[in-house]
Amino acid sequence: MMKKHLLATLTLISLALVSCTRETVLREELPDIFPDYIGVTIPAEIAPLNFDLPEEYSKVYARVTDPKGNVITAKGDYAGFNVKKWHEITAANPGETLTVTVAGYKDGRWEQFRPFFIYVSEYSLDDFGVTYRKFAPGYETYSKIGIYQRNIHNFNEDPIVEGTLLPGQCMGCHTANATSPDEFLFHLRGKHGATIVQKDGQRKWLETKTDRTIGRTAYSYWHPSGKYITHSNNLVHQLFWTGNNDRYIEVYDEASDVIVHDVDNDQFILSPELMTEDFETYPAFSSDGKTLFYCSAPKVQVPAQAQDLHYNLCAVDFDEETGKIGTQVDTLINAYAMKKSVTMPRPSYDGRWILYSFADFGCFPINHKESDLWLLDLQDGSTHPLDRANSPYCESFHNWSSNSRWILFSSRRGDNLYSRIYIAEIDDDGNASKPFLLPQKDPSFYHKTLFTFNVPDFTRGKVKFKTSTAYKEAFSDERTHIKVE
Amino acid sequence: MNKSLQYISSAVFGVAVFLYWILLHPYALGLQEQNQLFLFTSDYFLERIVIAGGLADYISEFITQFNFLPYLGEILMAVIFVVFQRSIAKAVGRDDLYAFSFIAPVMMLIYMGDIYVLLSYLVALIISVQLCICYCKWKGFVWTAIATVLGYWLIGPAVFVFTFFVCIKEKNIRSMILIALALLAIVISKLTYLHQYPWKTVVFGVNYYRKAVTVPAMQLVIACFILMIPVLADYLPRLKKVAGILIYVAVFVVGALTLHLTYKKDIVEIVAYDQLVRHEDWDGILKRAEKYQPDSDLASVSINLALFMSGRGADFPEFKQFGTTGLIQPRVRDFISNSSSCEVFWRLGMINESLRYAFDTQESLVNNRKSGRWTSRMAECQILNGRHDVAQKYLDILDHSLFHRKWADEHRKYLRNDEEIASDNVYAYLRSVRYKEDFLFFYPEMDKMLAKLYYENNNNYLAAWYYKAWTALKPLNANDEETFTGNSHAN
Repeated sequence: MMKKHLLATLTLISLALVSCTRETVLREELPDIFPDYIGVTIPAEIAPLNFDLPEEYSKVYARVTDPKGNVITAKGDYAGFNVKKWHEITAANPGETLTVTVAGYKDGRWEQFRPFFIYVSEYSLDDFGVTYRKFAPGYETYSKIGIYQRNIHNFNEDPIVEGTLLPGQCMGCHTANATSPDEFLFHLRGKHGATIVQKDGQRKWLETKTDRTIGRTAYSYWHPSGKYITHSNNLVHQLFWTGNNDRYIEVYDEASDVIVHDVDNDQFILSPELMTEDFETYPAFSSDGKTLFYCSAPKVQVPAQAQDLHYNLCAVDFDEETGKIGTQVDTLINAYAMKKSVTMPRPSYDGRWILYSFADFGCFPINHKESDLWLLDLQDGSTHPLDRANSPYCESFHNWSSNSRWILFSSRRGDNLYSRIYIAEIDDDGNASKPFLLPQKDPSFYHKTLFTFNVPDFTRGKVKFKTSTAYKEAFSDERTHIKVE
Repeated sequence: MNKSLQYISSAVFGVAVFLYWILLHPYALGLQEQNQLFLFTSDYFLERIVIAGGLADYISEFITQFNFLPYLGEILMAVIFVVFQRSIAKAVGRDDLYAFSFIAPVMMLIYMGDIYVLLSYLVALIISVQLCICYCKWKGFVWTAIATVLGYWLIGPAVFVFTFFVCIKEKNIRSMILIALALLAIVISKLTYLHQYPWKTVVFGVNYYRKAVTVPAMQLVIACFILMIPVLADYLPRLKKVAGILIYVAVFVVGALTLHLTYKKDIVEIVAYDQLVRHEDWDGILKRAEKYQPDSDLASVSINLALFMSGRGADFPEFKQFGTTGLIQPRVRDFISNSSSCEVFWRLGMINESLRYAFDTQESLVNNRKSGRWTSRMAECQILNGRHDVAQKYLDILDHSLFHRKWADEHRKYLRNDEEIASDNVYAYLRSVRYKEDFLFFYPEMDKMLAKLYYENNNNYLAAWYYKAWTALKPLNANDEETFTGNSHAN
């Protein structure tokens, strides 16, 4: 403690000296930092929120002070904090406020800005990190694509599987069972396509196309028991907007159904209620495994009437013991009546909420600028937008931390094209804190990178994927064919 | 063979290499430059060097960027090939076998006529042969062992040329340890840093060939030709002058025969058209087409654009046509098929389509390289679309290159500055002739989309011309009325 006080005193003295000797200018306004971490709520021991000032400032000095007077500082081309010290100061202050004072060096003198606050949540975020897919955002071709995992407590990123290992194949979403690193799947698209399911250290390469379903599986969600996965079968198409500046791509389904997959028996369980003429997609199990949520839109002629596609949020019962799907369909949110579209329902693991995308139309909100995140309260059926988390740009591809206190989502608010991962706290009333951008060691990373961060999810531990045999397994085309009940 | 004759033959070879690129593969080096974007940043260097063969890759990309300037690429290639040939000759060390030193370079030259072959293989081979020369000077197990392992990391499996060279020279068990070391380096690399690559790639090179997991036989044949000479040097008696001349003749004959068998004129022409479109040399395209027109709709896309741009639209029927795909290509997943169509869309004012084709063409570079040409075009499209943050990202990247920096700096003035955009003739025109309404692009109804484009702005003569050409080339179909846009948007 003495050491910290001494450090704090020295820092204050040095700042004062800097102020005195070089005529530090005090500015009334808040600093224009990137990423915008002003007023964000963070979990303790997250990676340091390194940031930078605009280009005209050649150096940055930042001082973080907690209510007890402990101080950490950073100085350089950007404010890059020591990971260990950052962890110490955040871990020591759950539920407290950190004060950040920033000065920037410009035209031979320092300019000091009005301090801002960072709130340390009383809720922890103990998950190991996040998984995501990375590729250049654009149209139909990706020169490099991969699924990665990032330790959110530092800056380490590792590939789980990259396109270099499975050339010519496109990788779909990595889907874990409630953030478990031991139960996950992803889809491989292309000539050697498969659904790769890894459970308890074993992995299967599945052929999910059957003569009784409309195509290969697309959007998936694990049953909490790990015994089942629910998938949608989608005949996906995409077209391209040609006349307007704001939107580029429209993804739509020509047809879609929802099915349940018995993992241990390699068998599909079909239900006529989930395979109607309408479009059923984005299934998800409730946290107790007794309900199957999904989105459903009345059939329209696509693509001509793609803008009339409005998806409702529906639910049916599911019996884990028998694997039976209920016949009574409940509409939880009638978005069709509002001429809106609900997609990507993600139930919280504590059973309280469903987080979903809310857009004007369609089934692929990532290309919809107006797409926002909303919460459905499963206790009273009420819904509300996550105002503090949303932006004028697209928010989508979201999910919960294992303790259901944090959400992550991808947003295009940075530049309206490249999706980046944001994390926000959800309080007891379902309100989101101001989200923070997943920190990078060098804040200019996001401006330099040509990759978009797609389908993020939390992971409790590090995902292990055996790469040494993956190429052979993929290109051998030896697949376990799914049976149909 | 005396020294002066050696120098003369090498010089003649250098001139032949220069002429090979100028006459037989014109613009091919420009395409190689187009398919990479060398950046002077530490990140760029690190991205290369963490992969086995990364140093060779980095050097080759550094050299390839100079292909941007006319003739410089061809001159550099001539120099590099002469260095390659001279290095082999020096490693062999026998004047009477000098003619043999041309075999591998001639084969390499022909091999590089394949647009998928990357310069990094040649660079790696040169470094490997240089190691052989070093070995001839300073024999020693320790440094050769270190060079083998380090060499694998820096230049990739081409280091085996050096390793086998040492084995051929040493002819003992100890030298076999070098092969074991090289194999060990491969295994360790695969299990650690290269675990996201298939074994075949790790063993035969990550960046010698642009197609993933493809190892052309020529790659191995060339390495064998290099290694053949030290073997000959060990067993062949000293050759007479006549034999040396005969070998020259044999090299020439075999080279000419291989070239004849592998030369693909249509691809050469398509590459030439692509580069001529890039430099807006419309007359150049038409002159080439008048001499020889490939049987390819890809070539037609460039020729038809050149016809309109050079004011010779009425000559359209005089050139061989290949249907509507010879006007604008549907999307094709490679790095050349859509490039001229991208330019057509740009000039039509179909900005989003130009952006899409530029993006997909760039992303078709399977070795994850970017392109100065396509990044520039994407930046322009994003400027016209008002996505200035994205445009700035692209301009900032181009700013780290040698030959695209100036262009990027000149275009910064358009960022978030509508007045500057409006004062630019090209940008103002393109903004004025683009679609006024939003709708979904649908390639099969290109004629309707072109008609709509012209209907919305009667100054868009290119749209009118393409509409007429499209309707002239479109096969008649009784079901034409039952179309997508006919039901919805582009009426």
